[in-house]
Amino acid sequence: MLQTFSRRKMPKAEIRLTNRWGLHARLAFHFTQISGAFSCKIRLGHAGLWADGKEIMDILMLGAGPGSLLALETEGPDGEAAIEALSHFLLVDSKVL
Amino acid sequence: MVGVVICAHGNLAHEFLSATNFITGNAGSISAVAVDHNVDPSEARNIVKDAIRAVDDGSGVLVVTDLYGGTPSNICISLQDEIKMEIIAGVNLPILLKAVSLQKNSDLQTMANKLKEYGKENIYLASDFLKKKDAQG
Repeated sequence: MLQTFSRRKMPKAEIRLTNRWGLHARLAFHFTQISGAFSCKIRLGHAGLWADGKEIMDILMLGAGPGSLLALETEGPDGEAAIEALSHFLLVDSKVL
Repeated sequence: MVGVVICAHGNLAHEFLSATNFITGNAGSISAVAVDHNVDPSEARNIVKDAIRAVDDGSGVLVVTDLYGGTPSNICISLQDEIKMEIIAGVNLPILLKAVSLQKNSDLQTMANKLKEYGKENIYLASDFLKKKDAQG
């Protein structure tokens, strides 16, 4: 489930899920469709657990319900762009899924 | 692109397809075929054969069946010499969701091997996982 990340400074964000169903399957699938377009490593955290942000079943295993606080971290050349795209997805676009 | 067909008893294949399309927003190219025990066995074989051939662009077809040794699986196995295909017996949603992600960029053999393992890895006893989660939290 865990990816190995280096200890150097990496782009990160914290996002509170405000949709009705939390981190559900459709949301997780579409998250991976976006994350898969970036070359950087991406990980998504919740309540002390970390998931590979490009792997749907990993993300679902976080079991993050509505109102959960998620941590998003990236490592790689397009990490900032990935944070921006995925944050926007979680905060805005995922609400219609 | 590798074609993917779900082949199973009763309405199971179409229901799996429906759930997959619901989750992925129809992002994949997966089809379903039911084996109806009310039709003649040779007709059932032709229906399955047509469904598999319909999604084969030359890259081959991954067929996911519900139960090794069951009729849908047996029909598919009987077609292996006629069509370039691999069969995974033991469909689950993790396999189908991952198939959507893999089918555009993988060859048939790689995809079949990965999905067989993926399907097994993603079966959980929820209580075991929740205990681990509690211990970490």
